[in-house]
Amino acid sequence: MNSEIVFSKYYGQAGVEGIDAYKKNEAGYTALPKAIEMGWEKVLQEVKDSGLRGRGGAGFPCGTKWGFIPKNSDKAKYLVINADESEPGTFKDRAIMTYQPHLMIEGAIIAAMTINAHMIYCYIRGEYVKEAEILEKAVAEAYKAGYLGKNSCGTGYQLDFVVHRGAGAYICGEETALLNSIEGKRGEPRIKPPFFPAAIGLYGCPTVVNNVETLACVPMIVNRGATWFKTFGPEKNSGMKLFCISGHVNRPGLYEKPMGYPLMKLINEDCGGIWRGRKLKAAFPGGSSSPLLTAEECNVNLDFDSLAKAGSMLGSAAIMIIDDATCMLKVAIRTAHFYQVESCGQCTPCREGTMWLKDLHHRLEAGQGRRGDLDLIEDICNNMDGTTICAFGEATAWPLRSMVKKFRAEYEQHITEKRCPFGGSAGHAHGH
Amino acid sequence: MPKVIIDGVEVEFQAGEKIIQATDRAKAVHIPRYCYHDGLSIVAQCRMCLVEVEGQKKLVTACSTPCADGMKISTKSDKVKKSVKGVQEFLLANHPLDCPICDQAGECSLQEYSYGHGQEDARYDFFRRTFIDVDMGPSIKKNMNRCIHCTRCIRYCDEVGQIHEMIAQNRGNSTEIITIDNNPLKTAYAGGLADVCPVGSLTTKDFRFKKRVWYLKPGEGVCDGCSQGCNITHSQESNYLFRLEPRLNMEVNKWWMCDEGRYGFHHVHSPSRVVGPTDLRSGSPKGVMWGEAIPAVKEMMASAKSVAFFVCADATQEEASTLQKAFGSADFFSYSPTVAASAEDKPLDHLLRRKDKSPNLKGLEALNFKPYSAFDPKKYEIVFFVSAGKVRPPYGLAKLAKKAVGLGVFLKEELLGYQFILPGASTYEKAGTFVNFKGMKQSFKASVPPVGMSRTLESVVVGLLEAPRKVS
Amino acid sequence: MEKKFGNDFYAEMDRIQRFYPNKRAMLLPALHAAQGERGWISDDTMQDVADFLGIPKTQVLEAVSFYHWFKMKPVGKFNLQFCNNIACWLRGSEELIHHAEQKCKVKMGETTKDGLFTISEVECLGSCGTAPVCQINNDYHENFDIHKLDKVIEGSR
Repeated sequence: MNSEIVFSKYYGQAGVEGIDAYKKNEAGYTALPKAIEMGWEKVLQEVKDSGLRGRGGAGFPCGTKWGFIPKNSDKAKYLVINADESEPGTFKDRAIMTYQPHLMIEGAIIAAMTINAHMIYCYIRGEYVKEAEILEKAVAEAYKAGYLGKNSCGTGYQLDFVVHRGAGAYICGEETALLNSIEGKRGEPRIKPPFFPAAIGLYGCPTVVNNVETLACVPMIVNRGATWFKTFGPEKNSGMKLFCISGHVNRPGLYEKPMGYPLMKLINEDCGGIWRGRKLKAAFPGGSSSPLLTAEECNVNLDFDSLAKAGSMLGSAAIMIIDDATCMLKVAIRTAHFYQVESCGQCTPCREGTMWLKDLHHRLEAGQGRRGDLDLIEDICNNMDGTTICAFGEATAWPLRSMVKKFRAEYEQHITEKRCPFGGSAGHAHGH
Repeated sequence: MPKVIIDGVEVEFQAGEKIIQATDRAKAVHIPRYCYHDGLSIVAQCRMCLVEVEGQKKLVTACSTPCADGMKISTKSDKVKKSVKGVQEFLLANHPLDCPICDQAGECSLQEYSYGHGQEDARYDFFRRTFIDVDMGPSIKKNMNRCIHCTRCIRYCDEVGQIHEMIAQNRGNSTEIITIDNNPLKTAYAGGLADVCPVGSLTTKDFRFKKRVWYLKPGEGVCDGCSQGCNITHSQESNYLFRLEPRLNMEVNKWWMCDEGRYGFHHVHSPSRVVGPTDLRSGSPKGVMWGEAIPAVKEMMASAKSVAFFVCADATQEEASTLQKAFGSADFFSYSPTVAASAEDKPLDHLLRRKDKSPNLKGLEALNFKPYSAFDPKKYEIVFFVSAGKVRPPYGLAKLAKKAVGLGVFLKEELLGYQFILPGASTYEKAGTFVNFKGMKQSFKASVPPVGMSRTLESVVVGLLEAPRKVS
Repeated sequence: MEKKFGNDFYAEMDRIQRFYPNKRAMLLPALHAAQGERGWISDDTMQDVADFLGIPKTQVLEAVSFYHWFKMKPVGKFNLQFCNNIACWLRGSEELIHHAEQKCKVKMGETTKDGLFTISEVECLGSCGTAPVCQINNDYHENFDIHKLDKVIEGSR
């Protein structure tokens, strides 16, 4: 399996986020002049050829997305960077912005010029205060070095970049909610049709929304070519990838691996196996929105298509590992609680379903569950699945349904024994 | 014309039309909806109108999905039925189900769709969220417990009232629809919130707890509040008028009407209204029978050399012509309280309200009624003041005439200067025609018969023209 | 117009103004600056922001009440924001929260009487590889444990 560290070589080191270090360590800002020389048609083609798929969660081909931007529209075009990293378990974009902000900025400049945008908004989640400061500093450096500003790279192209802070709303990671949020509105997703960002995006203008890691891939694709990029990972799932491992492993953290890396190898070899000598019980392979995998199902490769085939998804590559001493209902409560708190509330199934699911899970965990509750959970999930404006409905339904299906016996034990078989209280139930 | 196929039936559509618009226009299958309203922007939030389109993996909302030629749509597939049932159940999860004390009962979308689309049993058994009822100004009372978050009210204020005063506060399950600081609604169209609210969350204080709607008998009316001539539905029960609501007319008022018009019917059943012929010649009012009143007024007319009719412009075209035909030699004047002539009329806001607060000035002008400015009460030996109660003659004007007779709807506290009142019909007690500011002739039907001993103008005129009966 | 905010607020607004085609789009930046200065977003602050941007206060309230980062109630000098999402929970965030509640003698969501500490629960902070995490005001405290928590509380008193 071909592999090369392209992101994380300098992670954890002090002073690597500056423009000088970026130039010295990572051949920084050499892709940009190369791209200008290539011309934007060729750059677009190269990104398309690389097979780069969006790293935010949906895995949509990046080049195709750029290609949707109309060429002969008089309207302004915008590039928006989705740095609203909030999917539970995910912390990769934070690392990029902390240690390689310029890699993202350079990628964003290339992307903006490709789609003929003169304005870049970087929407960073509100809690990332320190990261926003680092980013602001890096942006100032890029202005000073002439990569941004009235005469970007001496080409006469005006390009501005602003760091726009979110304010504590998971839903703003959904691209159309994010656009509403930039416009100063409530972060509620828009309906599609008609609000496809490439046609009617930010301020009603054609807009591309790209994830941080996606854009960070762009300079290396320009520099080293699509063919090189495709040497990593299986067909249609190319590239090196940052995997976020958390939960019950001995060495949680960020791991850079080629796409298609085996999950069990990552757990047992890279992360030193399950902690406290326990056994693997289950794992979320792609954030809390991905259907849970049982220990047996964890024999899977980490890429978009393999995980889809396994009935789950790569999502944001946030792998949360659960050991066998953990009550699955408690995990479900944390999951349900999160979605209840974060639902924007505009669609009926999501607004009502998330609360209902949370209440049901709490009741079960407290040993007060009823016979029909498990079927009811499944049915509520079914009724939320595919009936909402955005993917939030599915993001709630899929993991919770997978849990009740795959760990049904454990759920039933809570009902028959009228208590949690793992002992302890009913869990810390906040935020009612 | 391009077509979509809905449940196997071909339905034609116009370019840009959404599925729900095509089915509504063709009066094909009724697709259930809460957040969709023809007069408001589309948000597709309630998810009730989910339908299945052949070739698409996910269900789509009929309100936001444009028709495409040959599109095959199912509103009855198992997938659709299951999802819609789910949505209906979610909506009821936090609904108080307090239909017995809810004013919306009988015209509530939740009730209506529970039949065709609801769950047989209630599976939700947790505490329902609760809020305290809130007064939203003179027009509207809010019950947030019943709210289904369709946001029609928010969009109504933004788009129709054009004041951003109703908003969603907080998010998700704890979203509450409010006005900031509980401010009273500023819009002159607040009553419309009760129309657009598909459930019992927003009700008008005027109609609240007055009547169960299933007892009401609706009729087609035209508002007499201004020269716009908004089309309305008037609803009565046991000859009592309970409420006015807008009636769709795309050329006039679309789906809307203002509060002034909506609540401007209470003179009809006012205890102050004079509902029997009244003789005031002695200086104090004395109720008399028609049989005494008509001959007395006839006698007054017989001796008069000059007669004028001061006609408030809430008279119908039919009434005006009747008077002209019957008393051709008299002078006729038209009166609006706010403009001297229809040329002075102008819009008062972006939507419907107009300066001319009379419904038929344009019509009377077309019949060559003279303007009020040319009227000198002293010039005539007898002046008939004609009013339907909505436009009332200036107080005290009758006193300037040598003799004055009131014909129509008059209030007891406004009788200064009259010798006789012959009680007549308000707009809601007669059929007729108004000509609005655009010159559109709009006919309407009676809702209730004239209150008490009141008679329509036509029957009074017949009486005044009849040869005197011989007393045997 | 009367200056309701400190100079930093106006400097920041001047700096970013050219990036936004309308005033409403500056709402989130303005609210961040206002909260940075005043610690929370009061009713008056909403009015001040609305006046500054020339937008209705209703639009400000809609947004403020939507975004949980904006505090509509005053918080303590140290706002202990515990993540209790899956990854942190798997790593013992619940014990930490219990401990903090006992130590500060307040419940979740409350502020100590001396106004020093607020304990709040927040959703995933993106520090899952170094869980559990507690964000105290703007700063992340990663690989947090009871020992570190005690030090923070005692060091702040």
